[in-house]
Order: sequence, then C-alpha cells, then structure tokens
Amino acid sequence: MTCDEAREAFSDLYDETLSGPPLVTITQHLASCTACRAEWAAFQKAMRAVSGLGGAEPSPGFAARVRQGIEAPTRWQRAVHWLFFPLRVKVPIQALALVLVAFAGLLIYQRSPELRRAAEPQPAAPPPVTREAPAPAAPPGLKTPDISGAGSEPSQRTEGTRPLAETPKAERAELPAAPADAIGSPPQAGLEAEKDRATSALRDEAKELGKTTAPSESPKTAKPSRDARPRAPESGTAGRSLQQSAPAPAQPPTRAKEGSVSSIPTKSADELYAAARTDMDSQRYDLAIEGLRAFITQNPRDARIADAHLRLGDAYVAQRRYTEAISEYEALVREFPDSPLIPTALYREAQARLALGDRAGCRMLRDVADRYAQTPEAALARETLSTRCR
Amino acid sequence: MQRPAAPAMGSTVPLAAAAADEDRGLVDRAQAGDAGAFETLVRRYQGWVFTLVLRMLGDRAEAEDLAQEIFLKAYRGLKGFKGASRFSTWLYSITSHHCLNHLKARRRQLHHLGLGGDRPGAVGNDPPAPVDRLADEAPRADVLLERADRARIVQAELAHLSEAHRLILVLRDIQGLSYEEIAQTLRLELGTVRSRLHRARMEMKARLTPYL
Repeated sequence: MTCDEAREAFSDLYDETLSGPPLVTITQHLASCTACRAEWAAFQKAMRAVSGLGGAEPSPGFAARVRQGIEAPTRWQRAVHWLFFPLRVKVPIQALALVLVAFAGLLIYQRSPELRRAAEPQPAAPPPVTREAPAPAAPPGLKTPDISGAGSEPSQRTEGTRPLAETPKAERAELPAAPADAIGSPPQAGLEAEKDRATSALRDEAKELGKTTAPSESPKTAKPSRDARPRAPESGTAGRSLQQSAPAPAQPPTRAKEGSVSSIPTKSADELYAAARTDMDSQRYDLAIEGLRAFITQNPRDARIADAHLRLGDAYVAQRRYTEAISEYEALVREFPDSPLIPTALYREAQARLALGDRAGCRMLRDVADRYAQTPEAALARETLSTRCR
Repeated sequence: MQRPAAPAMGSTVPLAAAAADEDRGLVDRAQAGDAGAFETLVRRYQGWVFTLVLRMLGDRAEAEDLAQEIFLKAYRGLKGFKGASRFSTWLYSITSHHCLNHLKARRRQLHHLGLGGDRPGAVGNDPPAPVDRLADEAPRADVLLERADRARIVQAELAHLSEAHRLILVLRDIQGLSYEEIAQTLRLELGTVRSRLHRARMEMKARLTPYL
C-alpha cells in the first residue's frame, strides 16, 4: 500500500468502516510509515476538534416562540380581519359605500348624454333603398315629413328663405320630425318619454311655424322628378355616391346609363338639393343625410347652406341622433349669424337638448323667447318653457 | 483505532424506533391541527436544528431566526408529509436545504452590495461569515489556543469550507448522522456521500493542522 492509498482510507478508518484485509493492510502501513502515522494523528486531532464543537441550544422560549409563529394569523387572515371585523361595523359601512358608488354611477349615467346614447340599442339600419322602390308606407296618421318644403325650384331659393314657411299648411300639419315608431308608440317612463316629448315638440313647432308664415310653393307642386334623378342601386344610398368627387370608372356602363349617382360630379347643386329633399319627404333619412352632406361639401358657397344645415339637423332628429342634430344647428348659428333661420335653429337645438335630458335646452328656450320675441319660435319656446322647464 | 466522538447532547437525535413511533403520533396530532403536539416536536428537535444552522451560518442570532423559520416552514408543510420517511429525516432535509438557500441568498445580497468575493477553496463562493471576519482579524493560533479558543478557530475554519463540504462535515462529525441518513437527507448516493465527506475532512485537517 502506498502512502496516498493509505491517506485515502483515513476517512473510512476514522469511521471504523474498514474490516478484513483492507484494515490489516492500512494498519501495517501506519506501523511502518512514520509520515503517514503523523498524518493520521493530525487527521484524528482535526476530526476531534470538529466533533468538539458540539451541539448548541437556542435561547430559552424558542419552542414557545415557534408556537406563537404558528398560531399567529397569516397575512390573508390579517387582511380579512382588517376588512371585515368587527362585522357589525364594517359590513354596514361597506354596504353603504356600495350603494353610494351605485348611486354615483347612475348619476353620471344620467348626466352624460353620450353614455345614455351608447347604452341605447341602435336603431336597425334601413334596408338599402333604391330610388325606384316605393317609399315605405307610413303608419296611419303619419305622413311624409317635410320640414322645409323648398319647392321644386331650389335654385330660386335664397338663404333667407325659411324652409318651414314654404311648406303648405295642410302638409305642415303632418310634419313629424321623428320616426314613426317614436311618435306612434305610447310614451314610456324615463328616457323614452323624454324623447317622445321632444319629437312631439318639434312637430308642434313645425305646425306653429306653418300657421304663422305665409305658404309658399308647395313641394308637391314642385314634384321633383324621382325618375329623372340619378340612381345608385348598387350602393343603396344616394349620399355616399354623391360624395364621390370623381367619376367611378368601375361602374358598369349600364348603370351609368341608368343615371347612377356615381356620376354626381356632373350634377348640379340644384339636383343634389332636390334629391335630398325628396329623400326627406320619403322618410329616407339616411339618404337625405348623405345627400345634404354632399351638398354642403360640394357647394360651400351656395345660398342654401344654412337651410341644408337645418334640414340635416331635422333629419338627425328624425333618427333620434340628437347629438349630431345639435351639431348641425350649432353650425348654422355659428356660420350664419345673420340668417333668419337662427331662431328656428336655436329652438330646435333646445328641443334636441331636452330630448337628451340636457337642461341647457331650457336656457336656450328662454334665450329664444327673449331675443326673438316677435318670432313664432318665441311663442313656441314660451309654451315649452311653461310645460317642461318649470 | 479510535471511534469518532459522539455528537453532543444538544444535537442528539432520537433515532430509536420508539422515538420514531412517538414522532409519528405527534406528527399525526400536529397534522390534525394540534399546535401543542408540534411544540413537543420542536422541543425534541430544536437542538439538532439549531446546531446545524449555527454551524452553517456561524452567527447565533441569525441561526435562531433561521431555525424558527425552518420550524414554521415544516409546520406549514406538515400536511404534505406522508410518512414515507422518518419525521427526523424529513426535518433534516428541510433544514439542510433551507440553510443552503439562505446562504445562497446571503451571498447574492452581499454581491449586490459589493461585499462578496471569491475565496479560494469555496465551491459556492460564499462570502465570509461573521466568524470569518473575526478569524481574519484574530491573533495567532498559539495565542488563541492559550485562551482556550479552539472552538472559535474550528468554527472559523469550518466557514472557509464550501457549503457542500461544510454541510456534510457537520451532518456527520457534529450531528452524528450515518452515511445512509446523510444520503437520504441530501438525496445523494452513498458513494458520493463517502467521497465528499473524505474531501471535506482532508480539507479541514489541512486547515486545522497549523493550530493543533
């Protein structure tokens, strides 16, 4: 056995795990090798020193402290305790807080027309209507709304012409500015009732205006030729095509022959305006809106722009899109401050605001009644103030 | 041939079958939520756990905190103890691994503080324990011996071993575990235990020889 082999066996020798020939061999080597014997003695001393470190005990009360740690509530238990105990105090407080939060949410909802509008179910989009198709049948008692009745020769109109004033009395009396379902349905509580009142007010206002202004050219006498108007059966809406600024090369030639609205760039402002009015007459408000938008965009200097804004606002009211209607009325007031349509626009904007539950409508009505005291709108405003803004 | 010194009383482990049966009963009661039964187990093993932690860390206060953590961890993990091994072996395993994890975390922390450093012979690059620093500043060995401060020297040199060598040396030569128990506790092969223990002992002998 070499010295290295002997020293490799020190650990086993120390643990007394050697027996038989290996034990005899290493014992003989240690007896004969002074160096290994000294190493072995040093090894034993070192191991005894290590073992001599001995055990240690923790400080008194260690086990009790561990038990306290065991029995101490966990973080979750502490959190639950902090949240709910004492139950008789904290649970009522939390319930009250919940009620307050719900109330605040309701209040915010009621005060935010945008939220209310977003929560409303969107009215179903009308099916694509072709110009050739007959106008949808109006419910009994309702006829095609005609807000302005600009006549068959729109080019003769001036900016100062009040659209409603031109509507024949008999027809003006049947001027619902809202969809048939809104007017025909019984008023419901809350928002629906509010909207019904708003649409009724707009209709009454139209009647009143008709009584107080001289009738002018009837739209029926004007009879804008629907068949003569360009059509866009493939698009479903006149306005969308109207807004195209360039001829659509992709249009089939046959459609172009039929007078597709995609060839609108060649159409005059008069034709555009007449088409939009006809759509209003036929309660095709989507088409009317797009047509009027195209008219405003393509003919910004036309004398009928103010009138177009007013009609556009009325079309939006008919669709219960009060926010957009307000924008149009505001545009009229902002861009045509000297227009004689201002009282009308202000009054209708006030009605639209009331339909949204916005009390600013009352303030506007007072303004109309004061500033335009001699106008029919002032009388209507006073009437509405007495009934809805008390 | 001289047998190795028996472990000190404070670290004596109840290995007898009767003790194991008694442990089993206490464990069952503790698993059922009897904190008193677990406290009894703590009293029975606190010396053993504390000794191992103290020899591994070298700092008494830190060792006491860590031993407490180990028992709390054992209590929370008691539901998972199915009795496949002895409770003592299960507890040794938790203690050993918790010590190693703690040393690793301490090394990382010191490294972040810029206090960590490589040390020759330290497999895990563990930083000097508090006792190391004391040893570095300590007077010569003969003076220390004269002051009967042998234990302090041994502890300081022990701290210079790698964590793996230190652990196996403590388990065998201070705690008195058998090779089989060490293999079970550290989840090592018997041959690995034997060879690692031999290297640890030879290194310790080389370190202590100048002082002895």
